[in-house]
Amino acid sequence: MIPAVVTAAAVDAEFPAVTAWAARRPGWAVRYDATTLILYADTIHPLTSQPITIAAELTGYRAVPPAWTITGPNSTFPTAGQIPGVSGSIFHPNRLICAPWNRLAYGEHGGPHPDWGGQTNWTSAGAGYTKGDTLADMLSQIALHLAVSPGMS
Amino acid sequence: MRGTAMPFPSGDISTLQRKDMTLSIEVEANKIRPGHGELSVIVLAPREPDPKTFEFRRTETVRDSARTAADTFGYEGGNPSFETEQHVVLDRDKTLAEAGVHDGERLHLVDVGGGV
Repeated sequence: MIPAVVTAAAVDAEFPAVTAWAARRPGWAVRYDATTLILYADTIHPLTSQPITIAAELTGYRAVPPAWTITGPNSTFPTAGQIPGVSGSIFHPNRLICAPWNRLAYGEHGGPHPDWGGQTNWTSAGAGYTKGDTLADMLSQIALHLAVSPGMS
Repeated sequence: MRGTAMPFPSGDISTLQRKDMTLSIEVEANKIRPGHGELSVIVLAPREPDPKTFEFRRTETVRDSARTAADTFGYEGGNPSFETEQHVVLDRDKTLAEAGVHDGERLHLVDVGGGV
């Protein structure tokens, strides 16, 4: 397992880009709890205006991807929308972000993808699908798909 | 409206004259502009706090220009495209002109690989 201090250094290196990305997005705010190694992004659903908290649990990052979760009121999750020219939504019917950059999508964590070669393969897994190699890239992907989500359920 | 455009002797002011009306257009002589077939865009990438300016041919596809921008920002692989400030994801198969990109526009680099 990657020492926490290594993860902390990786997050410190990426955090300026994360805050700059959020600053360019009205309605988004990010915060980082260095004690628990959890990055939070707070926003609202663009259609329903319901508050949403997005969390990335970063233990082991960058050897393994973050464990991303999205939580709305009463444990709701964004429903999938369609972006023209994009093959599908990252919001999986199993109520998880289905992406190679989400640890929870891998079979070893109960996710639907035992076929991606394991979580340590995350930067090259799922070729042709959503790609996010940094925390800001991942947040960008979440925002892209959230923008067309028809609601929360 | 009919008129005639005449360059000023100094070369940096043009005057459009019509009966009872004169319109003068001043051009900043020293400012570098892209050619008619090119446009300049400001690209913001999630992983970099600061934007970068690119000059692309208007006939270049969104796919190719986004790839160029992605490479410059250090992205490897993926399916880069551009998203406008109005959150419209551009069709990668269109040229920048066909996609309606205008000179000086701010574009966000996004990956359009999609979910699984």
